[in-house]
Amino acid sequence: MERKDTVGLILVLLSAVAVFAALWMVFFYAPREVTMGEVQRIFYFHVASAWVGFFAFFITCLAGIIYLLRGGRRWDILALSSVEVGLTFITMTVITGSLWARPVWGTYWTWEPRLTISALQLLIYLAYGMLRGAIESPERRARFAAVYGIIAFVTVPLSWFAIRWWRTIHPDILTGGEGMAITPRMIHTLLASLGAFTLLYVTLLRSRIRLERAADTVDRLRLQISQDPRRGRLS
Amino acid sequence: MPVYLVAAYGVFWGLTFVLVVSIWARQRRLEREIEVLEAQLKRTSAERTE
Repeated sequence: MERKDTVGLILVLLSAVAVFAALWMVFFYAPREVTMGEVQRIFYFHVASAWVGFFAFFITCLAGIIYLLRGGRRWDILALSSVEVGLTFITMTVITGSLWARPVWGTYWTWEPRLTISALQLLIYLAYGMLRGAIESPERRARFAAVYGIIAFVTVPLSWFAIRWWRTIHPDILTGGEGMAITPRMIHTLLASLGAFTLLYVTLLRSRIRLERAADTVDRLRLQISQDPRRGRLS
Repeated sequence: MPVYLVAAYGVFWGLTFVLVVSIWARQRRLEREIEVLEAQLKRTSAERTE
């Protein structure tokens, strides 16, 4: 059954245009960084994916708080959907960060504070999905997930402040870090990437929410059929 | 163009593609299931009215 989703289609088109425009800026508008060279261009999508990952986990935390206060399946759906999209972007952040680190630091990975917290964050949010699957009762599952999503969010400020609280080799995007000269064109490109990724997040989140609603419809229809006194004749 | 730069942007496209295809495939499967279940329910109510 094909259901028309005009808003979804518009969002997909807008996201595609925004991502391609950001890509164009990354490769043709932003200047070549003097110290790191071409590999510095990883920075734009790396930072943008980290931003979306953090924002997605914030939405999960917020939805969890609202669920605990008011209840409502819609908040549980929002929290779950945002974790799935956020996990994709945080995975992207970790991998692109490693690919940037290899030529710049001489290694793919080092256990410095920011990277260690990122790895922990990835595992914590991976566990969110697994633990949800282990709880049978929908009510208990949603309550547990809400509390878990709120506690897990601690990793976001911890990751953000890690480079300020502890000695670390990870660059600070606000200052550009040691040996990285940020120019206005680089800032424009970063802002365009942040905008494009945020739009992409909204598009993916909306699709993921629709998916969960469809799963709920299936459950409801199955329940209706199973409650039918003549269901034996139908099968 | 450095191989690390190509790999990093490849990762972006790859993961986005995996997420989009996974959502799309699950959505299609669920929509088919809804179609079958709705047809089943319609048949039941039609039998009742007969």
